[in-house]
Amino acid sequence: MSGSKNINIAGIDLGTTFSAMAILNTIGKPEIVPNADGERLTPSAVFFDEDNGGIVRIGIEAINSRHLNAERSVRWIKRHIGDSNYHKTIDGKEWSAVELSSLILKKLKQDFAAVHGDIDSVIISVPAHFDEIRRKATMDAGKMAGLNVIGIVNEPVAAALYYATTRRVSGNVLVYDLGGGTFDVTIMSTHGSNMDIICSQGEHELGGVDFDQKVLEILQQNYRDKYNSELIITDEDRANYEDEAEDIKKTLSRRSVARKMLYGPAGSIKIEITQQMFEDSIAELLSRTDLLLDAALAEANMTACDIDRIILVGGSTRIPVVQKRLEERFSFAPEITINVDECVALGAALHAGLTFQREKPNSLPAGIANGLKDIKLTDVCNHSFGTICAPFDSKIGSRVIRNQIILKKNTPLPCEVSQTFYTMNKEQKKLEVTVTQGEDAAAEYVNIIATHTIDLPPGRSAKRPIKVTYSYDVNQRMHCKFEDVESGKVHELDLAIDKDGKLLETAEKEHNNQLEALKIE
Amino acid sequence: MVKMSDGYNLNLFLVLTVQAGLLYLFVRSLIKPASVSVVLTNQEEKNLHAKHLTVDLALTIACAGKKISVLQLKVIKNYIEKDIAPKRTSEKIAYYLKLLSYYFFISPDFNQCSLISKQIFELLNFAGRYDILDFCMRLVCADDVVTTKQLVLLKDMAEQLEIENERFRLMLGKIIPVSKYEVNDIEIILGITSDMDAEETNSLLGKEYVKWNARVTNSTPQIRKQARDMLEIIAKAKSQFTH
Ligand SMILES: Nc1ncnc2c1ncn2[C@@H]1O[C@H](COP(=O)(O)OP(=O)(O)OP(=O)(O)O)[C@@H](O)[C@H]1O
Ligand SMILES: [Mg+2]
Repeated sequence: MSGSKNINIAGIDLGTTFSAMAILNTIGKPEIVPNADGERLTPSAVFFDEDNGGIVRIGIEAINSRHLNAERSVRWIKRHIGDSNYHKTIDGKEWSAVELSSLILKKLKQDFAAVHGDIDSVIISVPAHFDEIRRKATMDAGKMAGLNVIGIVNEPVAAALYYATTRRVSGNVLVYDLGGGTFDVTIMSTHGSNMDIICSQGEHELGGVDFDQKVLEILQQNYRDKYNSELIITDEDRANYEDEAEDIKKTLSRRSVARKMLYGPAGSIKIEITQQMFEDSIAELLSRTDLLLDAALAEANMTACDIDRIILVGGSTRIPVVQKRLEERFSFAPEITINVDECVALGAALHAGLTFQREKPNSLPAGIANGLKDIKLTDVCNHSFGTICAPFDSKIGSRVIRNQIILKKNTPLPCEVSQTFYTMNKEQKKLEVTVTQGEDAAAEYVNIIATHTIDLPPGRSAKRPIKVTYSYDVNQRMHCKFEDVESGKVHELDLAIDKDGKLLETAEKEHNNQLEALKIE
Repeated sequence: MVKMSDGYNLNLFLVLTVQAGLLYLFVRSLIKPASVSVVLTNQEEKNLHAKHLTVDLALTIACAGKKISVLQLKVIKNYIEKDIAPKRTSEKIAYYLKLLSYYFFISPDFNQCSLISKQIFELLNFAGRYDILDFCMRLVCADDVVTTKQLVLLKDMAEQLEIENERFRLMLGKIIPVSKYEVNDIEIILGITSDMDAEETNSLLGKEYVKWNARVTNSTPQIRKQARDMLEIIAKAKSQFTH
């Protein structure tokens, strides 16, 4: 399977709690690549060695070291990726979420190389609801780790891709992905290996770690009730009991009651947590999964009756009440046959194969090409993209700043949409344009992902047309075109994911003076 | 305590009582909102009158369910100086006394709020009314806690000013951090009313959920926090209504 002549095409699932990697074998089938310890999943945890500043431990060792020195360890980095304010300081160096993620990816790359040699092309998966900034940050982490990242794929899409290539399916499929830190629901229509994504909805902070916290709260309360004292005093205690809580949660997926001895600072306590107690504690979090499900169905213009199958993805779907609620809602049981924690990496490898085939059809080994030949995937745009403009609000009696959506969420890819805007003032010399991402009409509720200044010819009257065109390609890359219709002058803006990361900061500073630039009729 | 048997002390007591009574009457006259005695035709006069009324409204709302804070007094003082700017010193002093009286003798008549709002409605166009509701929301928000009584008054104010419910809740979501609410009143925050059936409630919760869920990754930290808090309230409401 390996060998220098072969091309190594891989997929990586960079998870909140666990990461996994898969390779396409010689006949184009994806296989999980175990890490150096022989494990198929690697905990997404980082630990900076205390004795040797040059050593960083990734995976299970990092999890264990965390109990001894929590200060030097980091987990759940994915929750912070794309957040420029997040830093972890170790020995005076500030580590960003991108840098920390790149350490995990480097470990995966290294373990892969020990068996298969270098990776030629890789695709990393992200939650469907990740915005442009988070997608770019994930790609940057890959590049920083020395990977040739040829694209990004949505986790539920990857899972569905793997699913569709392993069995015959047709009809409307709902992918329910409840992992360690995020939750995504994707609805698609399938006919054999033809898959059309219809829509996705996701929650950024809902997953196994939140369920662990609820169990932890029960432990802390029990301890308080018995000893009138706190169970957790140090960060190391917290690390320890977080893992105990996860353990209890997992036990409750198999049994109706979990028992544990806790040795706290004021004395020991025997804890007994029942499935019912656990389910009550996560009731509100589960309500959110219901709300998201409703939102996805509404967006797809469907009801529960229109869904033919449900695929479960992510470790948290092993929780019995999660499955039970789905069964009650849809009147049939979700499919739990595939490996819920591996299918994303496996699908990402398939996606990498498809992307490679599209970009370099002649370089792809015949065996792999043959394995991929029947798959056809139509993805959609995951967010709406727009621009800030200043239309006249007749009720308020003045212009109001508004976000005008140009490219609508869930438009099949590739796509291109144009809208015409008009300049506001006579003799207007400059036009500052803004590219936004988000669904809101209120400008403060959307994120500005780029700004651009266009010089206009002198001596113009007001209300001159500017044609704005947004396009989004199958590799999830966005392209913007601003055309001054009268002079024919075109300004192009490529929001390729490798664009300078500082773009956003300047965009925010300029927020106020560019708002007035455009107007809509 | 005053000993009644002691003649000297009794005299002092009477004097003090009369003084306190006079002061009280004076303060009550300050608290009483300015009413429209003449028909105003000039828009500028109308605007100014609406601003005077706004001060009364703002002071009353700030006192609802809690004591007005020094910070809130400052907000109103700024409003008076910037937007009303009384030129005569005597008028200014009267205003300051009014502010102080609300600080020391809080017993405003909350029933007045509807009435004052109605008067403002007659005086101003939509944009002007919108600005006044915005001001009162920001004033309430200048303190750490926003009481339910204040929310009820703001809601009533919006109704009298004919600012639609949808817009009212949009303003509320933007201006007041959920973490400041004394109690999370889902009727006001989410617009769920007791006469809605399960389907209506679910659809409303669904809409609010989608809106706030999309804001969880906003680039402004305050908006992110607000979105997270709102999702919690929505989830709580959802589990209440489905069980
Ligand atoms: N038997 C089980 N019962 C309950 N939870 C489980 C079980 N097995 C695993 N989990 C939970 O599943 C989560 C890990 O799932 P998974 O590997 O799919 O997530 P991830 O890919 O790391 O996260 P994400 O996709 O959200 O970024 C952990 O929180 C773990 O505790
Ligand atoms: Mg995952």
